[in-house]
Amino acid sequence: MPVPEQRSFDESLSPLVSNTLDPYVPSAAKPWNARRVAHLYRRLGYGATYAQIQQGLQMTPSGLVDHLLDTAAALPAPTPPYWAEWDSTDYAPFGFDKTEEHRRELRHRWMADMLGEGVRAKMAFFWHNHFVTKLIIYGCNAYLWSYYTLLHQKALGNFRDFVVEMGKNPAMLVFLNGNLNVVGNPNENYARELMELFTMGENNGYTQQDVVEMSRALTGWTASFNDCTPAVFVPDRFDNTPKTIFGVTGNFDPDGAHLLIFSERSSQVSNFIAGEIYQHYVHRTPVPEVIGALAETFRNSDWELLPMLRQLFKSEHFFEEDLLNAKLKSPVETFIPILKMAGATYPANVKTDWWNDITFWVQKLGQEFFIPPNVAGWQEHRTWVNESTLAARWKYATLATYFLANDTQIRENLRSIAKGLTNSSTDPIVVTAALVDYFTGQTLEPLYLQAATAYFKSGIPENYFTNGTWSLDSSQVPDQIISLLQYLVRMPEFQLN
Amino acid sequence: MNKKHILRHGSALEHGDAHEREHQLWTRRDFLSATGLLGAGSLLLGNIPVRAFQPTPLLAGLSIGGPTDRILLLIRLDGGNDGLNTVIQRGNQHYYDLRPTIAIQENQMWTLNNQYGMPVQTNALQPLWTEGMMKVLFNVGYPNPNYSHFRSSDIIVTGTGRDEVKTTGWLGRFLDNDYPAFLETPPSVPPALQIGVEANLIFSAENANMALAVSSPQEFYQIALTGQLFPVNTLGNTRREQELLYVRQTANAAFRYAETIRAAYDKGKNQVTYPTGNKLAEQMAIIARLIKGNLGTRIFMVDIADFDTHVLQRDNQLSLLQQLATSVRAFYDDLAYANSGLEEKVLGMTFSEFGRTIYENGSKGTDHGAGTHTLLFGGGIGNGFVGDYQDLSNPDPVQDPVFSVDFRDIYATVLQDWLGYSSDLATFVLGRPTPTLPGLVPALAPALGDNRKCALLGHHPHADLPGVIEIKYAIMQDGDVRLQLLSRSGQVLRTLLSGGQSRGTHIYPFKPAEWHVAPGEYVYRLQSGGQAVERELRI
Repeated sequence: MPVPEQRSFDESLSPLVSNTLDPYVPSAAKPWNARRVAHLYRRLGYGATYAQIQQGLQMTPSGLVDHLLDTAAALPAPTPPYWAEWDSTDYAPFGFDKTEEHRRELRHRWMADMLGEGVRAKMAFFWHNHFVTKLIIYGCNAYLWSYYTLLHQKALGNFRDFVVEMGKNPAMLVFLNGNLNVVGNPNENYARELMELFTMGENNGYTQQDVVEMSRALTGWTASFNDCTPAVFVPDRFDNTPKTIFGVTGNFDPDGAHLLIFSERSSQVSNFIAGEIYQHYVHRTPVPEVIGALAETFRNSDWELLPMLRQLFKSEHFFEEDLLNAKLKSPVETFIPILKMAGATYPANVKTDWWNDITFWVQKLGQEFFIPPNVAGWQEHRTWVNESTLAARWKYATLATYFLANDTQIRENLRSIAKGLTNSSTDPIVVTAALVDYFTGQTLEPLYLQAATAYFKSGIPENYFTNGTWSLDSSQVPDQIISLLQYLVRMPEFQLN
Repeated sequence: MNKKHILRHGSALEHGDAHEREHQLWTRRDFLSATGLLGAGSLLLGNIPVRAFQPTPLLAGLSIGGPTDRILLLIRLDGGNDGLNTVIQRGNQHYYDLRPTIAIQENQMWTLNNQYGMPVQTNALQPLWTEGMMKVLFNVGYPNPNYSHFRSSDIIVTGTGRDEVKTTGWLGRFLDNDYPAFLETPPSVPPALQIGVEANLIFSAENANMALAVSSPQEFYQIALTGQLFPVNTLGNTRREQELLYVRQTANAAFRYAETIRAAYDKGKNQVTYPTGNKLAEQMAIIARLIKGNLGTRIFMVDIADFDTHVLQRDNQLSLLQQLATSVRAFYDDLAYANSGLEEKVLGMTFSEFGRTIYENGSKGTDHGAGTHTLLFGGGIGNGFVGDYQDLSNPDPVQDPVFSVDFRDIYATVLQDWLGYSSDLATFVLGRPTPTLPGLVPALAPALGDNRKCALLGHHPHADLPGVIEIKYAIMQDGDVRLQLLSRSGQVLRTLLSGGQSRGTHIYPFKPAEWHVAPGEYVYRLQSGGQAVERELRI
């Protein structure tokens, strides 16, 4: 019995054409087409609707990037829920159901934003995985809200301000033991992660002595997960003596200590953060030249995120053929984009049940909202997909197609998309190929396109396609598209973002 | 929720779902082996510890006398096959009056007996008929027929009545009860294998499609020849292709059937020549090879399309029937090769969503009608006719003749007499007590009888742990158990438990919050040993 063929990965990746951040100029070889519009939307947010792709084609790449980023940056701060400042006393009359109801509300809100606006929602989710906290550790809903709203408010703002604020966020204070970090009895946990995971990167420009001194500077702020009352600065807890951090001596307080990282280690911080963003938004393999250039922009714009993001998403590099669909979907990306591409909106189509199910599915796939596995966060990329989770992805994505199948409006959206994509073609192969392209951004090999077409045909007699009986106006069309989707979600191509 | 489309593609691919439960997979293999369902020589039992299992109804049924490895092959005639021109009532003047241009003339048929004949294009079937390997069921249908291809097809494959919408197929429900932990402790062979994508609702269960569906012989060869679901050697070294490669290799590793399929395909050989240029023959050759290679799958489905003969029916339908006849003949010759006796273990059965109008239309064709004939094939089934031929004497142009054989009675007969299940299981699968057609096929003794296999013993809040509901139940035999939470409308929301458990009483601590289940009215369902029981639950 021959051994099934196995191949090792990444034997030699094909060379990238453009490793600079020169602005992308559409060309015959690299056209500004639906695939690239969709690529931008998929990476910056959670996919595009059909209308968004059509609008994007009418804009320049640069204009569309500006439009998406500016819109996201201009969004108001999230509206506080009525329970935003509820402490333990407020929750006391209720059972845990009430606590869970409020958490559920926030998860649903985030998913609704992913489906709707998309760009800020994704950026905030990225920061959730950067400034990791775990709800099961800090427990307070008021802290969750405080953390949630900070992630959103600063998502596309000034990173330095973001870090300073995060240092006094009650969720973070509890999670990384800042609340136990007091004068005379320092706790190094937050100081270490602040440098290692949040700003500079592991072993990248700090010493153990810096960690010790930094933790002294970070004393004073505290929060109580028993009471769930707001974080406060207690002068008596603060180590009000000089510290020497990065060789600089002064009586740094928490804000000052955070700022010192930016003034003394700007190269490390800018490169580390630019690298994180690159790997999350472009490809898991870092390209040092690109990251270096992004870092320079980041430093030179006083730690504003937008200039760096503009430069990245407008670049030749970002639109390289080689990088389209070159990422594995996260669990969230397994479900939200397919709803969005089908034209589902909240609350018109999406029901609360959908969010409950998606919450459950992404948790099963390893991405539980508010509870990353540890302080390093989700490792993303190929760690998302193994034999077990791949099979679960097939199962749950198939279930998600039922959402679409059972909504009258979405069913008609699907029909309109198929008509728009193909100018109302009556050739099932043409329609199938166009839908495959739309939903995956890719082309299937002939054997699989043939299979996909068979699923699209859904048992409709062959003669209906040749004698004029069938068209995209036929009553069966929405079900045919669902049938095709149920095939597609099981194709490996579907796992690529 | 309208689950019209249930897991259309290779749900078997889900089997990675509980890879860590490999040992249970092996246990099932051991078990299958012990009951002789598979040839012992084909199994790699080696040093795998054997855990004793009580027989499931399936295997218990099969082990009471008779052969233990009966197989069902469904041959779908897609588009609505015209029964009247498939089996012709010889000399019926009404027939010739109703069909002036498309009727099959006496000199264009071979005769089954002095009353009935078939088009000469199907004479490949003549030896099967004379050797007692073929039966004809006349005018198979259901009350108040629906004339839409899609709805009628759904009715036929779900096994429901005209106005009842079910989202699972009759064979899906049947297999689901035999494999309650199908996804978590998958069998090593697909319970069913389908070539072609048509009508696969037939194998749909609540949570999964029980059939491995390969869309074409070409897709099948990819698996059978390489032992892999997806090719990996066609991908280049771009970043996209490298990620795709990763997913494909993961999928290949998760695809549990590849190896057993390849092994069976390797071992089995086609020993007769199948007709060429015949898509059905290509599918049936694959299935014969798998059966001869001891795959162990017991239900197969193949498909031949284009029976929707509104125009110029004669040429079109006769060509299709010729393909059917020559394929079936080659298939059974192949099975019977060298007196293997395999032909007696495989029941072939045609089905179609409906028949056609008894009169011809203005385009030398026929339009959608009511019942159609079903052909049964298999060594040892005898020959003969079941039911009554359509009464053509007083044709009402609007009203088709009323059906003679209810298709659900055939299903019940197949489940009970051919596959050896109890009438209880047939009742569960078909949703109502359903009569059988005695003598249609050589009958196996019924299964274990009417003993309960599982029971719900109530639920209540946990005494100490807030937010925990204890669900108590008992299973009467070791085996796979599934506990699910459903909406009140019957939609499965969560599978709480799925896996092997030992005989006895069990308590499942259910924490709705952990499963993200909102307060409300629900139903929970316990499945084990081929039975399902439900109870309402308020959370």
